[in-house]
Amino acid sequence: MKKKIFYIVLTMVISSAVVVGLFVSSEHIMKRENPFTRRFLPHPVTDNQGMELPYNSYYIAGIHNDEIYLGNHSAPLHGLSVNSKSAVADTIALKLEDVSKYPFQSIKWRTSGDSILLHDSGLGLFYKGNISKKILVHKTTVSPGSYSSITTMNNNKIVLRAFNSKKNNVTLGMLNSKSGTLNIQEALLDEEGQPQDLFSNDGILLYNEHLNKIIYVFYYKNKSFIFDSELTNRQVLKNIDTISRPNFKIEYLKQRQELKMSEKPIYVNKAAATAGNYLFILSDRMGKNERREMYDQADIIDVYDVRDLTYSYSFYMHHFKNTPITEIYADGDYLISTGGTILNITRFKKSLYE
Amino acid sequence: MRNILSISRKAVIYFFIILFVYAAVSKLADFENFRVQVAQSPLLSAFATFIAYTTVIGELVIALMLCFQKSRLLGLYLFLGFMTAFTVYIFLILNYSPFVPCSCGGVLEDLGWWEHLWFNGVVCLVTVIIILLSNHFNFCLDTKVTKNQDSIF
Repeated sequence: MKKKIFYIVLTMVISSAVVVGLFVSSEHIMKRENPFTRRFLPHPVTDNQGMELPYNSYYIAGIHNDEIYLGNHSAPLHGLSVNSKSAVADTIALKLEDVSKYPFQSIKWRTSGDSILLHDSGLGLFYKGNISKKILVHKTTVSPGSYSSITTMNNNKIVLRAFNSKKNNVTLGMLNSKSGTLNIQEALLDEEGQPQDLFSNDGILLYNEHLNKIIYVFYYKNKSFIFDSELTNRQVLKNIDTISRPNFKIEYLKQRQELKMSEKPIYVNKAAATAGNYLFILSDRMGKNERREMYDQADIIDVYDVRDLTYSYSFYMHHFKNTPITEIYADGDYLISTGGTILNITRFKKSLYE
Repeated sequence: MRNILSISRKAVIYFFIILFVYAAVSKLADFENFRVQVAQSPLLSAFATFIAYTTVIGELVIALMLCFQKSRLLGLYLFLGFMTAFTVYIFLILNYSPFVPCSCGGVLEDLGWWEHLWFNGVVCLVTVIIILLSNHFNFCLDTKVTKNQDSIF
């Protein structure tokens, strides 16, 4: 009898210990050394409020007071403001105080709070204005064709993704729109043992206001760099994806004097956005133990915690009118996305800021 | 009295066998789906493939062991081990998981997580009682085996 009780207790203790052990190490692996196993949270965002836009050339410029502002690539000074609650869209027109002065090439604008920042990367011109007035004033100029994308911070600071086509590299710089000083820091995006050219280090530049961090998400490898507001203290956030270096090589074709990718590039991170404590990444790469058929019906957003650089969870964004997402934007509790002529509006149910 | 006990013991063991065979077969019938579900379970995501196979194979082997007198006692211990593991798993999900997943299907599809916890607890308790009783009453019909019961384990 005693022996039996001993065996019974032993059995129960061992199997409990095994389960608890599996749980603890699974949590550790999922967060820190995730081997590309996604964890799908059921419904972390509200039902998608999808709507159709008149053209497929809109991009997301920002959100302010529940109004979503969309810029238009093909009509650079025109845009839409969409009320996130009523889904009513209004056209907006921006005015530049000296519009006839320059041959504008590639205008893009974005909102930050109630201010608008407009820039032309081809000419290196920066304009600023207010959402209510929509008249933009020339602020500062940098050398034409020296950067490819920007993100805005508070205090007139603008972070630039600067590139040097002669040296064939890309890095980050800080521009003060008031004083006009530009401070480019060399080799911020380079990593030892990795290709360091313009293409391989291509990615998405973001600013997280809540944590006051600058985030650079690489397109072609499973990494994002997190910097503090002075572009120092680089931290590496490793994605759950398994591609740790770009799958292509850059070859120089002497005869045609062109750089060419050796293979079709695989996007590890297709689009990214940040709000609260989190980084959101749009991925179409399939992880372990997933349903393949979901990839025809939905896009996947992976969520990372920027504070401790860990993977949090993933969720599906079901296609609205069979249209995949190509761009995402987050602010407050909003997650906005576009793809083709579709605008998707969802909100996170739980606070991103706690 | 003896008769009733022995019959109910047999009935319970048959129930255990059916329970595990059914659980294993229902998982096997849609194994891909089962593996995806385990991966989505908040506690074991990282070991999904390993756990999916172990669970199904384990359930079948244990059900088989419960069928034969010689291996029945060892089978009961293993059954108890599995049931304890499931119970602890549900307990962890309810208390320490970042979210409670949708129910996993199988035999107890319609049970909620708390009801599932109670069901498992009762099954564990019954298993313990059966193992304890097997000392005093003839567990197997063959007396020879009965005498050497402890050595079987």
